[in-house]
Amino acid sequence: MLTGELVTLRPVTTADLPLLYDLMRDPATWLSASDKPLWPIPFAAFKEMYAKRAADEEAEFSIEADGVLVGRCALFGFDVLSRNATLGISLIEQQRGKGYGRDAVGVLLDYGFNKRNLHRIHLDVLAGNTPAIRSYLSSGFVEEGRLRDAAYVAGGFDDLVVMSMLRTEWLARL
Amino acid sequence: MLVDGDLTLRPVTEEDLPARYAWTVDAQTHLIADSRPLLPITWERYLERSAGRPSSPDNELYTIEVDGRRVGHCQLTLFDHLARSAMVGITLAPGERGRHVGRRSVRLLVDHGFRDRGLHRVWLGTSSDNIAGQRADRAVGFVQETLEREQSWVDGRYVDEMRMSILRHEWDAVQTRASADADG
Repeated sequence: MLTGELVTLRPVTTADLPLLYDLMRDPATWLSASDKPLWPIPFAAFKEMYAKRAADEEAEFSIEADGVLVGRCALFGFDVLSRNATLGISLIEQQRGKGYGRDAVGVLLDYGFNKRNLHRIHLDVLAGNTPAIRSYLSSGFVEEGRLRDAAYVAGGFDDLVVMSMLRTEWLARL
Repeated sequence: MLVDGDLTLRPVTEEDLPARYAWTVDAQTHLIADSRPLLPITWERYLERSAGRPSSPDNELYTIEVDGRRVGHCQLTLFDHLARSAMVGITLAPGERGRHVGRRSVRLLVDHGFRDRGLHRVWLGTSSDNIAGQRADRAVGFVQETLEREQSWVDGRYVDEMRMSILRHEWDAVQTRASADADG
């Protein structure tokens, strides 16, 4: 559907759900996929969550590489007046470090700015997640500040790093 | 009730609704208080919307009174029970700004949040245009954390937004300084 150099972004299918369910319940990826504390989410509730995202016209994609599901990514929280949205991505653990994340983010930015006419795309990421921060910076995101102790994860507080890209910055990179 | 001399934060009542409605549809108040679009919302629709967002432990709504006169409203909301944080919001009626009612109300809410609600962090969002608001928030002890570029479309142009916060240990230090000043 949307293709990058390494990955394809396509709609989430029912067949994807068991693997995405396992991905979400991984404590290390939970926070990037949910705004709730880690809890034993039943599969039925997980399916409902995905059905709701599809109905809300949020842009939820499965990420495929060489025909294999490697993760999911999304633009959500669309502000139709100010023309911005939030970017989120999570990759299955064995598929990290292969450039899929960065490629998928590029495809998603192109979709957001060109297909959805966004002015700004933003995200927040745990300060402790340095590989993700490095990847976002290399994609062209700009750090805008840190929400101090705004997250509680694995027994302690962590900052959330706020990053964004403006449409003008995206165009300048092409 | 949260009280500081002549200033009181009390629970909202039905009698507050007409005044709150008037502030909601006042374009200038709306500009300061709300980054959502200004809508031609009817009184009936406003009542419906208010009923859908009642005061609750996770959405503390207060009316601000000075000497028994209603001058605005404020809230402690968006509780994150895991990270123990919540957001402060405040709206003052036209003509009530510039008299430190805002900062005194925010101080009461922050103190309540740390003392009674066990919070670790209290935060707020404001437009970078709202210089008076930022000055008041800094006077309370809030620290600027972000400058979110062109985040909101307001009155024909993009403006930057910022988030500010105060952590429990910072509030404790503010209190210690205040009581030392009172003693000295």
